[in-house]
This record gives sequence, structure tokens and C-alpha cells, in this order.
Amino acid sequence: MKEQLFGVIEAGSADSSELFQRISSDEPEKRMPPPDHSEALSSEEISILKQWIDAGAAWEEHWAFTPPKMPAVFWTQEQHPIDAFIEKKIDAGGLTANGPASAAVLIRRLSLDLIGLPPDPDRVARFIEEDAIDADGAWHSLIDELLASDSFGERWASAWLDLARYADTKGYEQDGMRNIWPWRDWVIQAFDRDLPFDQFTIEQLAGDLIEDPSESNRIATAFHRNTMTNDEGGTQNEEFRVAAVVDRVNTTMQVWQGMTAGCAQCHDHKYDPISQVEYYQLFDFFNQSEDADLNSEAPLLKVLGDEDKALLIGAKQQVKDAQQSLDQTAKALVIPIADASPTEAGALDEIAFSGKMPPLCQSMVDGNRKEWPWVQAPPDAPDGIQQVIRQTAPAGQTRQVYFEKSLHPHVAAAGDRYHIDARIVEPPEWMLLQVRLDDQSLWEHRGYWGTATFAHGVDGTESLLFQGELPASGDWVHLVIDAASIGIEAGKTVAGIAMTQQGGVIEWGGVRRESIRPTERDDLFSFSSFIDRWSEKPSDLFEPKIRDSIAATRNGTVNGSDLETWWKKKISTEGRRILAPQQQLLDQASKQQMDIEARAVSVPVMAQLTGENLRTTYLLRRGSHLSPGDPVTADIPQFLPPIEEDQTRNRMALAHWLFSPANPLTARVHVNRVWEQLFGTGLVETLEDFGTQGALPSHPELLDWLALTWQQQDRWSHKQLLRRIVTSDTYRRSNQRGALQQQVDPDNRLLSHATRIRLPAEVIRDQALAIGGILSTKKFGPSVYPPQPDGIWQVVYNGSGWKESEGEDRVRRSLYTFFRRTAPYPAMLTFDAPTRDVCTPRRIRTNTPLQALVILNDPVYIEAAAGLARWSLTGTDQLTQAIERAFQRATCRPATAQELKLLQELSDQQRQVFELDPASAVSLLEGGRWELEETQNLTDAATLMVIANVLLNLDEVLVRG
Amino acid sequence: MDPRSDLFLQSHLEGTRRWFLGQAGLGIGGLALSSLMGDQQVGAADPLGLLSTPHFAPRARRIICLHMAGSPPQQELFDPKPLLKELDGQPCPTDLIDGETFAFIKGHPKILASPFQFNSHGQSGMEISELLPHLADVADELCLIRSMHTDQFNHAPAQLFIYSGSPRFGRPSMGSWLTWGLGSMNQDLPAFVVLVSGNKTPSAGKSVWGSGFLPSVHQGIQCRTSGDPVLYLGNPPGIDSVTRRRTVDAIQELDKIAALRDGDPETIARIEQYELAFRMQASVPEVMDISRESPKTLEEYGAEPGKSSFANNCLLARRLVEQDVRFVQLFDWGWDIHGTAPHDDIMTQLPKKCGETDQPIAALLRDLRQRGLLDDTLVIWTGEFGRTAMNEERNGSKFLGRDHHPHCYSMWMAGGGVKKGHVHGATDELGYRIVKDPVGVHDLQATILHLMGIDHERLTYPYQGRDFRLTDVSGKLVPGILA
Repeated sequence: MKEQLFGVIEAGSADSSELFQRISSDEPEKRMPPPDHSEALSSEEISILKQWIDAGAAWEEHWAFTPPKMPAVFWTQEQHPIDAFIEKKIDAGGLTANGPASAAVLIRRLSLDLIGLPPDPDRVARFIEEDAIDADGAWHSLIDELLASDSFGERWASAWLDLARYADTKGYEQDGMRNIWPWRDWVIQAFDRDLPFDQFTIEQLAGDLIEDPSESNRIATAFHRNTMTNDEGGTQNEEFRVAAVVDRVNTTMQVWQGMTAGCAQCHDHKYDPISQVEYYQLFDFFNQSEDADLNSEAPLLKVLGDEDKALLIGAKQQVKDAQQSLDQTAKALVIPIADASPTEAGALDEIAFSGKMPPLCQSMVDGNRKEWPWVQAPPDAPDGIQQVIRQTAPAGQTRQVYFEKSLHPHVAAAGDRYHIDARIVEPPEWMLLQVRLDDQSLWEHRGYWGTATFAHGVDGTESLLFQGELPASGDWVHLVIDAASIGIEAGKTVAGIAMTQQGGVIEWGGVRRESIRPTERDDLFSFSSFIDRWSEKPSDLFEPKIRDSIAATRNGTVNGSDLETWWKKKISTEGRRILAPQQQLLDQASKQQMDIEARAVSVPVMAQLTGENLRTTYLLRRGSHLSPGDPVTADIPQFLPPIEEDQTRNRMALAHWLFSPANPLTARVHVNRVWEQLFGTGLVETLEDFGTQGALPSHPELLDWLALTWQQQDRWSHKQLLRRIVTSDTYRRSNQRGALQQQVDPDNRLLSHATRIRLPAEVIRDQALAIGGILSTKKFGPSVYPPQPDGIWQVVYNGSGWKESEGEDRVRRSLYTFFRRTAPYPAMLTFDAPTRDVCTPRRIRTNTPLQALVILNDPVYIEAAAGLARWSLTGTDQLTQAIERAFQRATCRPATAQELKLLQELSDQQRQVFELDPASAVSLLEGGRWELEETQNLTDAATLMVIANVLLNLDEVLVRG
Repeated sequence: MDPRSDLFLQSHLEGTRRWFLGQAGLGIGGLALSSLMGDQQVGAADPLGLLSTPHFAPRARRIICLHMAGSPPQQELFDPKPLLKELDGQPCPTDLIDGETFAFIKGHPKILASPFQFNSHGQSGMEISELLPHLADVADELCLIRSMHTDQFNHAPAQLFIYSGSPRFGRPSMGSWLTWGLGSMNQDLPAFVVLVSGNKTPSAGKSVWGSGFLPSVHQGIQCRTSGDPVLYLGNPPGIDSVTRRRTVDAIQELDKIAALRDGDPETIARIEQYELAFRMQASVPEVMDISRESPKTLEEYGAEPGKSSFANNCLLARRLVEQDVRFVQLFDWGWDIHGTAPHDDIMTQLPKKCGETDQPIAALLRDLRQRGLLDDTLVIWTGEFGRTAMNEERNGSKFLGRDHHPHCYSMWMAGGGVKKGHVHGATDELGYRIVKDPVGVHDLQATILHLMGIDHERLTYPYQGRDFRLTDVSGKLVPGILA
């Protein structure tokens, strides 16, 4: 920038400088800016430039792009450096700093600032006592206590979520659900355990690139998966993948460098020294991740809760044990070689259910497609029935238990009969046996019991033949069907059998076949027959590994024992019979494992492309992915210190670069952000812009001192930074502003008094719940759905609804509230929470009538008012006393006589109202979910609720004093 | 003046919202407080506005914007193309698809003629579809633009583009810009009201009436026809308006004590906001109660009290602008007709949607005219983009429908400052590309701001180091449509 500028300036002589010649020229073709440009320079501006050039054109680089300098110590040992910096300016401004605020104000201020919740009344009382004895000691132990509080991480995570544009949905038109709350929990934990800011950053930007990353490292990378995903039909994935990468560049520069790089996406930055090429060099760092705007949001990480993680270890062990035991038994098992077919005429074959299905067949229970339906048969089951399936069908609906395909579809013989064992628990409308032949007719053979009311088949034919009345409920019944009567004639191949019911509950014992035809299936009885039969052309039903093993036997390389063990487990009739109990144990263990794994949450995470999959990054002309220009590779803009040469230029290198000692911005930007949270305005007012268009720091030396001590002494510890600031006198001043202060410094940039700050949206609600004594302390987990008005969620093409949470999930801290981008929780928006579509570095606080309506009327505040009223009435039946208690709890200080008088008047009026109209009192209490105890007085309760409603709306309560 | 004196409090009660705006504006970095505070006259007419006076004399003071979300087909409604009849069912000329990207069309699509007739109407002889017989009756009020184009062809980005000047989320919407710039004309109602019909919010969600980086006080307030008309407007059960008045009084009295103690102007602002909130509790339900209209008016609009419908919303729009609400935005869902199913067919869904909207829109224009409001109220009717000349035939569907098309579409305006009975621009014979007087989205925005008395290049907001404006970095006034 300097080089470019000084090409047209001759320092010391305006007249010979082209810059001055141009701006002062009378010729329209020469004059800059051109005459048709709307913003011409005034003669005053021109003369300022002339003076400046004539005086030597002194030039300094923009302050924020030069490294912070440690100011020389000018404070005394007793003085807090922050106070020294601040008081120097207050003195210069001719003002006097306020003294400390009262203990009651201080504890409320610190508590709301550090943990986002008000102190409880007992703690306030104790603090006031301690403060009177040893103010500093009391203050320091309060700081220690709050920094260690279990609620600390939730408060600071809440602020981080705006920067990370965290939401529970993907955004854009469809705005479908996304499971990314485990990342939110990671952030809370990171603040709780005070993960230093450098490590906190590295894990979020590049956790996947840490060597052997832990699950926690990978969850952290979801920071940059908070970008939106477009599921709208007909959108180009590449367009929105590029949009997501752009967002990552902009967010990273915004959050860690306080820079608005976004302008350079389409053209060189107008004000800050970022060229378009440099923008795409930054883009390249983020262009190498796998995600690509897919609807699935892959890559995903499956994450289990801590409890499930422990359970899964146990479950896996059980599977392993069951598998081992089954394998050992199978291996040792000797199957006697049968020299003749064992099935004698009239014996019941095992063709169907009863847990001993034909080898390799696919079995299902429909309705919910369970793969593991069998349970041990009860003792009263008929002989030969080892296992049963219990099937429930809703009234009017059909459900089936069925198998299809098997290694040996059976060939029907003349005289075949099917035997069914079942116990009706609750009578169905009908039940039937349905058979599928291995031909075009599919499932067109049915015999039924009961009344036929279904749409398939022609009653009275083999497709639907009456077999009798519905059997009685309660006892096991044995039903028999002639195969030929439903069209299963000799020679036909049966490919599937189903037990079907409409309504009712039935325990199906199974279907067995009675056939006079001897079996020829020697491969079920002898392993060598099995090899002989299948080695030439293994069936598709065998899994690939088994097919290979079987095929390999042709070359004489029989790995006999493993394959034979498999045969005994899966094919051999005798083997399967003997191994059934152990197989069942294994099945149960596997199901247990699957059930746990099914509870895992799939979190979108970052994953790096490698090798030939790496993308070539191009400059995108006008920011369009359809107009690629020259290729570029990852690098840092010139005006910032360079990245280390010998590193791989990836996100990890970028993350480390942010924390290199030479980086002028990272620490300044973050300490400024924290300062803004504690004082209402940053030292640099434009948190979002440290560039040339941003505001200048009010206290540049203080900013540098904070930035450097934070890096060097505090080692990027967030809690240390907070401690350093809140131990200053500056933080503890009273907030009253005097006439002179108002006149000289209306925005209080000199900090001669404390700034009153309207609480953030989340804290407004959390505080009300806490004051009402109904706030849940439950931490972590899926987002919750506290009550909101009907009709907020009307998202196109997305039928999902707001299902209101129950129990304590209704009253959790607000950062757990489900965040839908296209329809955020309305009360949060009203209090200036952003929609989280993009990174929001600063919330602008407003003051509107809609905010008043929320706290006056939103049911959650009515519930909080009821809570406060109930608490205030405990231990007293004096309304006046209860009002005092309520006031103290809401504000942390006792009411003045004047305030009490006002409330007392309102209370007297309301008592009359409710005495005349107890129905209103009842409705009010109902709205507050307050069930009165017998000893309590309805009028008093309702009156006190009205008082509590007033208290929750006080400016003093909505503001951090 | 000592901030802890009663006089201080009184003076602030007058200028408090001006102060607040200055504070919010200053907070963004660079807006000079003095320019906001200096001109004492500003506050009187437009208590919340930024501009002391409009840049030039406004032609319109209020806007009603009727958005047909999903985008109606111009070929069926406003832009007749006889050539399509001749080519109906034939594969389209290849230059219609070469190098084009479609949302859904695959392969080589066939031309789709409009199944509906057009006729000339009014003195202007404007050609309008048989689907809009009521609107045709007021054709001479309309300024029809057949040459609109956009560069977005997905719903959410295209809607954002029209209302915020950018296809991406995060920018303030047009209504927010206008109320931020011009302020409110009504002390008891929000300045920017949104009404939604068709049971769905638009694709881009509430961002199309969001305030982006402008102070959130400027976001559109969605008024609802069921439940509370404004969220949390109603008192909780057990609290009537007398009790509410008393509680608000108590809050204000206690806040005054705090204001005198702490000397914080924000406290005084809050006292004002509670007053406004209380007034809204009465004024909003009143304005939203269409049963106060005569049976004749209800019949003209086809409105039915208690229902949720586009017709009701049209009548509400009139009631709101009558109370000088600055910007009323209607969204009606159901116009995205692709021909994928029986309920998504040009033959059925389009006549249904036209049937729901035609009569109320015509009634609205007549009603505004009758009451003398149309002269300084701008009514805008639009979708977010056009539809293709080709039948979509997604997965071989037999139902008729057109895909998204950014190159041209039709919209109209009426009232405050635009020509009457006028057609602007033209498309080619297939209605595929513009051949005369193209109007881009930023041009349209520049023109709308112009009609409201604002130079679109001068209504800017400094944010993140840049001056942002509704029209981004382009936009030219369209003089051809100005009356």
C-alpha cells in the first residue's frame, strides 16, 4: 500500500506530487476523483492533503497490522495496570472516576458476567458480610468461586456460538435437521476446563490433522461444519460447497483476525490490503476438506454419549465372548456322518420357523423390520418348538413374519402338509399362512382362519382358502393345512413362507412340513457332500469370503477346519440344532451392540483430502465458481507476517500461524472481544473490523498490554484473562453518571463509571428462570424445545414440527434451545440474537416494544413470576414481607421505601381485583403452573405474581448494573 | 443539565428514540451522532427515521408488496407467446438449452404452450390472461414489466436477492432499509408488517424480512391471523387490560426512579417502549380485526373474518396502510408449479392460486383508489424469477409444469408514482430472453427507493469496514416506468 501510494507523492512538495496535481486540477479529464463521481473532495480536504505532503507526508502502517508493543511500566506496585491506563485518560479528560459500586451490585455484576446467572440470595447476603470485613479478599474469593463454577462454560460458550454460526439445522430453503450439538458440548467443556485459546483454536480449525486425533479433537472440527448445506432440489452442490468454503475463510478471518476478508472474494479489498489473489490463497487452506454440500453432510463422525460408550465396551466384549464360545464348540463338534437320509415318512421336517429355518434364508418380522426376532419358547410350547416370535398388529393393519430365499427351497411332494403352532394372545381379525412359489405367481397361495377382509386373492380358491374359524385365545393351537389345497402341488418349489395377521397379538411357534418324501440334501448332513456339491459353483447366498474358501477347495487347498466350522454353524442340520442355544446368545449380544450403536449421533466433521484427491484452487472471478481464473496455492496475505516455510500449507499450519508471536491481531482481537463482554464496548469499538475502516482503539496501550500479558504470562488462559480484568478497580466502579460525565463522555469510552449493559437474550431468560427458582441445571445433550407460540415453524417442504419438551427440558439454559435458522426461537430474536446464518461478531443491543411484550406476556416469564412469588411467600404470610423478599431476589438489593410504597399500592389494588374476581387469580396461577398448597391464600398468591411480573420487567433487572 | 434531574428526564422522553438510534448507529462505527441529533425537526414527522428529509420529493409514502412465493409462470399470466402454440410439444430449439443450467429439467425438453387465453383489456389494451378476470378489469391501473431478470434460479437465494439485494443470508431486507431510512409514520403500530398465507413461510425463511446488520427494531413484524396477531401481544390469562395498565405504570414509575438514580438514557428509552407496547396491545388487534369492515367490503375482497387467507391479508394490507404503516409485505405460498403431480399441475394448481388471489388483488387496488390512498401507495406484485418455455416432465411426468427460469419474468406495480396502463419491456417470441428494456433486480430496487424519495446510492450503512446498501454495487433507476 505504501509503495503504491508513494509513487504519486513527492514528500515535502505538494506541487510536484502527482496526487496533489490531480486532486487540485481544473481540467475535467485530469481531475480526481472524476467530476461525475458523486463524492468530490472539498477545498478544505484538498488543503489538508497539501499541508500533509508539504510537511513531509509522514506515514505509518495501520496500527493493527503492526505487532503490539509492551508499554513501559508507569504504574506503582499497588496499582492495577488496567486502572493506571484507564485513569490516565480519565484525568486527561478532566473527569473523576466513580468509586466502587455497592457489594450487592458487584456480586450481581460479576455473577452475570462470569456465569450468566444471578447469585442466589444466600450468597448475596454472605458476600455483603464478607465485603464489609475485607472487600478485596471477598472479591477475590468470589472470582475464584465463579471461575470454577459449573455454569461458567455455558455462559462463555453461548457467546462463542454466534461467532461459530452454530445452529441445529442446515439452513437454506429445506433447513433440515443436523446433529452438531456434541460440538456445542465440546465448547462448553473447553471453557469449563479452561482449554487455552491457542489449543482451543487449533482443535477447532484443524483437530482432524492432529496426529492420531481423539474423538474430542475431531468433534472440535465441527466448528467449520456449522456452515450451511443446501438441500433444495435442483441446486448445484459445487456452488454451495464453494459458498461454505468462502464462509470458512470469512469466519476464520473475522473471528481470529478481526478482518472482513469477504470483500476480496469478488475484487481486491477496497480499503484493506487484501488482494483477490490473496483471498483465494486463504481459500485454498479450506478448499481441501472432504465435505461437498451433500444432503448426507458426509463426512460424519458417529458419537456416543459417555454412558453408551461404557455400555458399548461391555456389549462388544459379550459379542466377542459369545462368538468365541460358539466357534470353539463348533470347532470341537463332530457331526456323525449320515449314510442315509434321516427323514422318515411322516416325520415333521424343519423347513420353516421355530428358529431352525432353512440354511441361509432371509428372515424378517415386518412392521419394524427386526432382524433378531426370536425369543426362547415358553415351557408350555409344544414339543419341537424351541423359539417363538411375538407379533403385534395394530387394529386394521397387517403384519407378517416371513422368510424368503434359502440354500434349499423345498420341493413339494404329494401329500405334503404344513403344521403351524401358535398361541393367540389377543385375537386378530384373521390369520393366514401364505406361501410363495419360485415362479411368477409370487405370494399367491393362502389358507386363512377367521373372516377374510383383505384385498388380495379370490376367496374360495387356492389364493385364499378358508381353513376354519379363528382358534380360541390363550392356549397353544396346532393348525394343519394340506399343501395341495392352496396350490402347492408336487414338484413345485417353495421359495418363501409367511405367517400373516391383521390386528391382534400372536406368538408364532413356527411352521413345519410333514412330507413322505425322503430328503436328498446330503450337503446338510455331511461336510464332504457339501464341498462336493458347491465347490464348482458356490451359491450367491454364500458371503464372498466363504465363496472363495469353497472355490479354493478345488485346488486342493482346503482350509478345512475354518470352512467346516462355518458349515457346522450355518448349514449342517445337526450342527445348527446343537449350536442353537449358543447362536442365540450371540444373536442377542449382537442385537444389544447394534442397539447401542444405533443411539450414536452422526456429527458432521472436517476431514482432509489427500494425494490425488486434493483440489486445485483457482481464483474465482467475481466470486463465481463458474468462472475460475488462475490457479493459486495456500498462503497468507502479504501485509501479515509470513507462514513458516517448511510446513505443509494446511489448516494446521494456518492455526499455528494465528498463534505465532509475530501475529499482530489474534490476541488483540480476542482480548477486545472479552473486554466488550465486560464493559459493553470494546477498546476497539468495531469488534468486527480491525482494518483501516474500523474504529481506532480508545486505549491502544492498554489493548497491547492486555494482548501481550495474555499471551506471555497467562498463556492464552481465558480464565486468567477474565481474572486480570475483573480484579481492576475499573471493573468495580459504580454506574451512576454525573452531569459532567454525561456532557464530556456520553458514551463512557473513558470508563469513568461502569456502563450499564442490557443483558444478552439468553441471559434475560436464564436469569428469569433462576430468579423464579425453576431453572434446570442439567448440562449437555440434544437441543431442547421449550414452549413457544404455535405456528412459528412453517418451513417449506419440511414437515417437522416443534414438539414441546417435557419436564426439566422446558426450563434448561437458553443455549440448549433448538436453533432453527429459518425460524429461530422468537423471543431470542427479539432480544437481538442473530439468525446464525453467518458469523456474527457483535450483537447490536436494541430497546423495543416487542421486548416489553415478551417479558410481560411470554408464558415462561409468567411461570418465572409464579416461581418468584411462591418462593417469596415461603416462611411468611405477610404480603409486605414477601414483596420485599421478591424485590431483593430479583435485584439483589433491598427495595427503598419509595419503591416499596409503589409496589404496596399496586398490591393493594390487585388484592381487591382478585378478591372480587377469584377466577382471574386461578387463571393466573394456572398460567404460572402453580398449584397452591392448602395453607396458602389465593388472593395473596395472585397478587404477588403480579408484583413478580412487574419486578421481572424492571430496567434494573434486564440490565447488568 | 444534571442527568439526575426531572428536567433531564423530560427532555429525554421527547428525544429518546432519536438518541437510541444515534447510539445504535454510532455503535456500528462512524455514523456521526451529531448528524442524527442535530436536526430537531426530524423527530417530529418521522421519529425513527435516519434521513432528516428524503433525498427528493417522494412519489409514494407506503408500499404494499404482494409476493407470489414459488414464482408464477409469466407465459400463463402476463406475457402471451403465440409462437409457443405452434411449437407445442416439439423439442425446444437447442439455443435454449446450450450452456444453460436448470434446476430440474434434464435431457432435451419440449416446448409447452400456454393452455390459457389472453385478451386485451382497458383503454391501454393490456393483454392479460383469462385466469385473472378481476385484475383485467383494473388493467389501466397497472404498470406491467415484462422484462424483469435475475441471476438466481433457486427459490431461497432468489427471494433473498429481491428483498435484500444479495442472494446470501445476512443483509437487511428492503422494508428494513426503508423504515431505517424513513422512519415510522405511526406511533402505535410497527412500521414494517409481514402477512403470510398458504400455510408456509417463504423459502428463505424470515430473512426476507430480517434486519440483517441494521438494528433489529427495523425487522418486519409478522402479524398473524390466528393466535396473537403479534407474538406475545395478548395478556396472560388472569391479567386484564386494567391490571396491565397498572403494572406498566408501576414498571415505569420504578424505572423512573432508576433513571434518576443512574442517569442512563437507555432506561428512559425503555419507559417509552413499555408505553408503546401497551398501546400496541390495543391498536394491533383493532387494525387486525377485519370484522369491523362492511359486508360489502368483505364481499369485494372475498374476505372472511376468522380465516387465514390471502384475501384477508389483502384487506389487512389496506387497513394497515390506512394507518400509515410504511411497508406491508404479503407472501403467498403455492406458486412453484413444476408439473410433478396432480396438485402441482398448471391445469389445476394455477387456476386455483389465481382464483384465490385475483379478486382480492383487484379489490385492493380499487379500494385504495377509492380511498385516495393509491396515489401515494405503491403496490408491487411479483414472484422471485420466471419459468421456462419448456415443459419440465420430471421423471416423465404427464402433468404440466415449467422449471425455474432467471432470464426473464413479469411483474407489475401500481399506484404511487408509476405509469398507469403501461407495459415496459419485451421478451423474444418464445418468452425466453429479453429483447427490450431489461430491468434487473437492483434496478427495480433503485426505482422503488426512488419512488419513496431515496437515492439508492446514498442510503448506506457502514458495517464491517464497508458502506452497504440495498442495491449492493449496481442498480440504475428505470425512468421508463415513472409517471
